[in-house]
Amino acid sequence: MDFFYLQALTGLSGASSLFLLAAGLTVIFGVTRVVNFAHGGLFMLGAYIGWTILTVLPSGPFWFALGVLAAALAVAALGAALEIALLRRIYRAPALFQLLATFGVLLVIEELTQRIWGPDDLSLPRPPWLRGAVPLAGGRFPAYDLALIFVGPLVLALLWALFTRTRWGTLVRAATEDREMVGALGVDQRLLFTAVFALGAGLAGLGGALTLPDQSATLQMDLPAITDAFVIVVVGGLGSVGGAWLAALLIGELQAFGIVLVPQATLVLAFVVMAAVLALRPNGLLGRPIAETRATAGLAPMIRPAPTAARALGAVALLLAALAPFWLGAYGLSILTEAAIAILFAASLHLMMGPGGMPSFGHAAFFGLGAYAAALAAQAGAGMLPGLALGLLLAAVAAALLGAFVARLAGVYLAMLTLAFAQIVWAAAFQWVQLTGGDNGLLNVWPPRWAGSPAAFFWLALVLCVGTALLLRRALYAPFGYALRAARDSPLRAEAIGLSPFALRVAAFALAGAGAGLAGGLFGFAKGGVFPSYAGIPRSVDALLMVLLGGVHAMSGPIVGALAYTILYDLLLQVTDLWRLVLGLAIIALVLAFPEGIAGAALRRWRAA
Amino acid sequence: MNQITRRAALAGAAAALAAPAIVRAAGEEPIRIGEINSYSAIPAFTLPYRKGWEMALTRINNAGGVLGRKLEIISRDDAGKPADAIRLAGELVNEQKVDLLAGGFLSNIGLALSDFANHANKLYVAGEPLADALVWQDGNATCFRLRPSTYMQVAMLVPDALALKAKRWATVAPNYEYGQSAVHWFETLMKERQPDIEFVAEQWPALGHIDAGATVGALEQAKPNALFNVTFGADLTNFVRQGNTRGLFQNRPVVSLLTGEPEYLIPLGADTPVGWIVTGYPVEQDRQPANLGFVNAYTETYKEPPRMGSVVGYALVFSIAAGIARAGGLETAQLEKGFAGASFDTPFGTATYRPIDHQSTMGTFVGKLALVDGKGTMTDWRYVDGATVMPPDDVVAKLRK
Amino acid sequence: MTLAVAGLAKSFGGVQAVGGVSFAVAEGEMLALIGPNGAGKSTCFNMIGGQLRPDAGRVTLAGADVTGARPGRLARLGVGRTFQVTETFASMTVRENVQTALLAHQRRIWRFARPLAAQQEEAALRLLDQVGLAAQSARAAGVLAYGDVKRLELAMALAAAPRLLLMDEPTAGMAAAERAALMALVRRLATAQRLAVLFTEHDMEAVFGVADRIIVLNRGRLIAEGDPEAIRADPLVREVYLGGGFA
Repeated sequence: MDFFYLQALTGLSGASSLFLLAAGLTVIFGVTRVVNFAHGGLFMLGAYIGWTILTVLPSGPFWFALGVLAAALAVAALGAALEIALLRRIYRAPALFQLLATFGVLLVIEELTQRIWGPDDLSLPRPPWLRGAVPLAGGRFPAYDLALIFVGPLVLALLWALFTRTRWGTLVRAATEDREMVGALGVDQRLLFTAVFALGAGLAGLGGALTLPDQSATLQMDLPAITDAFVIVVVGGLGSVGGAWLAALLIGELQAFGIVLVPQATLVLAFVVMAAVLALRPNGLLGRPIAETRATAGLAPMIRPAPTAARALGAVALLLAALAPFWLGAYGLSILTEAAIAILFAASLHLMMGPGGMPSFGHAAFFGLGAYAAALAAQAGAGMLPGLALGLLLAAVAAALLGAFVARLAGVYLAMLTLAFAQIVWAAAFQWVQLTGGDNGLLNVWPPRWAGSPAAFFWLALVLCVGTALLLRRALYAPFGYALRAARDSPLRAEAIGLSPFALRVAAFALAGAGAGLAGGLFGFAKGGVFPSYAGIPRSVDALLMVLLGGVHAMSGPIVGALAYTILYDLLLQVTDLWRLVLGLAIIALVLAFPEGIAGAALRRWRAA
Repeated sequence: MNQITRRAALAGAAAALAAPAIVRAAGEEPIRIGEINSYSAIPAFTLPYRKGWEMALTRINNAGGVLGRKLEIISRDDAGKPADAIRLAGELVNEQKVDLLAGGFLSNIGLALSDFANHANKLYVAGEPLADALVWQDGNATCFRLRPSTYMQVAMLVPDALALKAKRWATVAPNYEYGQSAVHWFETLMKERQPDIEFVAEQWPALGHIDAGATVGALEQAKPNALFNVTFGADLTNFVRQGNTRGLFQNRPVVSLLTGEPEYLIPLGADTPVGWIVTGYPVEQDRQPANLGFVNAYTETYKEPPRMGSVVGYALVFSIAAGIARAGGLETAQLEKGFAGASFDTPFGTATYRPIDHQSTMGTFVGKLALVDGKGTMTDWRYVDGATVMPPDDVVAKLRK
Repeated sequence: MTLAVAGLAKSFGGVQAVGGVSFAVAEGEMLALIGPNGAGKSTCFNMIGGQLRPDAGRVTLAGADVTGARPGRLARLGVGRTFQVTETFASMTVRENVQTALLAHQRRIWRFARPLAAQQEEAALRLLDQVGLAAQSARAAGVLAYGDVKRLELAMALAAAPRLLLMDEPTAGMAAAERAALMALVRRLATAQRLAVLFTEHDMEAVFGVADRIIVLNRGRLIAEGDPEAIRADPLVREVYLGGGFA
């Protein structure tokens, strides 16, 4: 029994930390509808800034509290600056576009943090008052963690008071329900958004600073933080602070006890919980269906055949690419091969996200499944082409199954479930060592002789990837593509004319999965190996970035986006130590300059001309 | 401990250099080494590592280079991603026309580079990757590894672990191949020598994402007599703080991999768990000439003491120079023959790449953790030569199939 | 009878929204369903249109039982629908909207190769001509004037060559002149194509102008049925719904 109490208290303490991390994210999303990727970076900054402040201040609980609050305020100010300088300019962009900008910001934060504070982990020295333990239930429970248990509910209460007892808070709640209406009532939306962003950032900073007695400030703490925050926010219900608290409690306790029962479940526990909750309550524990803002609902731009000039340009580019082995060396070809694979990967996601209206944060799941299936088949003696076909098929089937599960959801919840699925695939690849080799991956997956030279493999990739991408594009101009868009624009009307939005979405999933699976298989052969990272979050984010960068509503968006991102990333990585900073700034610049994406903006200019 | 004197080492090096060498027609062209590491992903290790190899490079070139030519190192950042590492290896081989590849930190990248290099018929000298498979199950003719592997370091700790005579053990290791491998070897080797041992609990925190309080609680609940720890970095700091405060380590000896290395010890600060049995590097305490010379030169050049990464970078380049000199040429087949059995200088003395599995005999230090002036340090330490903790040759041959 | 409804009933959480409603609509007939707010008109409508499952009762379409059938099945069986809040496909042109409706009806939507642009062009234009939108066929559906969007919806509903047209407040939000024009159009189409039309409305001018018969609901029950004159004179209807002030 003693153990039970101690572990339960540990879970509560963990829940407080999780809540602080997630509260800010959910508040920001609730009002601005921005999925703030930089949230983990703000959390990290809270820890680093807190470290700097606390190592300067004298020791003692009062000074500690002061220092932590100061760090939170500093991060809040940064959040406000971020909102004013960047996010304010892109609220009108398509849904999820702001995700891009916040990702760029995250990269910049990561690089600057390292430049300012150095590469080492920074530990806050613990004076005696922070080391104390309270004798409890036959053991010793850290006094600080005990205090932390109360911080969560305290912040929850303060937020509750803020949102229900102040005028500002009421405005925020109104804005969560209906942004346009609040604007129509004469409230300065801009100030409101800035303040909300500052509050959210401040909460993240507070969370980060409060981890210092237990953990070091490290440069890798932002990514686990952002995934944790996403999970909590989604499980609790987007925009619901109370939900975030419940979710934090649930996951904190489940983790505390889960690792005793199933120690290896550490990789997937949170995601399995998320999937389970969403299956039962599709909007999270206390969430409500997200009301589409009037401005963006149904305003997806028209899809017309590309103007002749654009098509000519595409043909020329394709010709140049086909001739690449004659004017590019082996390394250049390897980059172009990667670009071709990226084009298919992005095109398959675009089909789902744009015309299909189903955003996905876990597209790499199918990329990874395709890669592993192809590699395993090849190793079993099937050969490369049958292996690729198998990878395509497996990914398509998995996608169809997932699609059937999630097709009735909408928006960010759907995206989150796809993320959960991808994490489960990743964790399986990581842990099922006998089959997949674990994180060491499957190696010696090289193409056969006839496709072994850089030129030969490049041509293969070009034909398969660009060919399939063009086929997918063709499908979008065919009746199926229109039916898919119909189901997106108005499911009601679509049903009324005899279409089944459910079947269409599952089919879109399957097609998207197939494309990603083929891309993944080719990638495995291009690299000679398959690793769990092929199904990991960074790869899903890559696909998302490529689609958003190119323009989610432009048919040539994925092609342009994939090319731009691949070449930018590959060249930068090779050329500079500061590649994260440069890439982050480049993404931000592109986002500001082309709010509909690069291709979107180009097409608009073309048509207007 | 057996330390070959500096004079003998110099004699050996001179002998290697004096071996018949083929001088290239284009004699002034430098020998190019393509180096890849996870610079942006693991700066705490890779920055000292880079300083180490830069220092070695300068020394070797000032002393005349190798085979009459200067050494040149072209370095790339793989951002911790195997896919990028492979592409960059391709760039180094095809564009930069390097003569051989080197580097790596993470085991999966090491394995991927090894496979790539084999496929491209280029030599690959792995510095830090610890995976046993690199030279055993997945070993090949073109891959050589410098650092003592997971198996070797676990084997180094086993004698001290056995001396504890603890019956009930619990393990805590990060949930990926390195952690799984370390725990596997520890359990195997301990059970061989102490059959009545019982492993009562295993914890597998996600790498970089440990829930330290809960993990400590779960371990405590199993009531082990001793602990085996494989966590490192931020997870370790987290784990140690919670463990200290909750009393997990009271009257409970802990055996821990890598914790004595400065990269992992320094962040622990005043929380350094006293008495842990660890592998590591006591930096300034080792007054042997090789190390002393290295530490002094490094500190003078960079105004800070070296770390384990520095040693790896430094020794890596010296090992490559020795291998090339012994090979007498830069064809991969020549290099393979030259490297297998090549002896080279390291701050820990002379080491050799074993012909049987291409694993170097460079060892590491085993000792206990202590707290001095609020900083962690090693005490009661001794150097363990890698050659002394290898499995018998027939076992190795079978593993290498 | 094209549409026959018998004993329709639906309760929500213990409150009966509709109870025991029965009526029929014949070929070429326009039947108006009217009643005060909360009378259960939308609930009835949604039960017939497949958006809600009835708790009790039967719905037959040309003799076939379609009780509780989903909208998709109803569409295939020849039911056209327009919605109170107009729903069209804003990301397509007017013509593409109709083409999609035509292809869906012809079960030719699961095609992945030939572009839609070239399919059913003329048939779409003919439908648009019928509703007076031919001149705007290349405009984006999302930028049409409100009245034109309603016509587009009508064209799409007609694309399935329906036997029955369900129209939920067809003139909601329209200007007076437009309303009359739209209802006159529907009247013409109903007669020419022998369509049965069931529609709900709040605007009495629209109702009395074109309806062949009217049924009145109050608190979920059918309280009156008959031709416009009879309904106008019915004292119960006047009391409950029309009140004074209706000419």
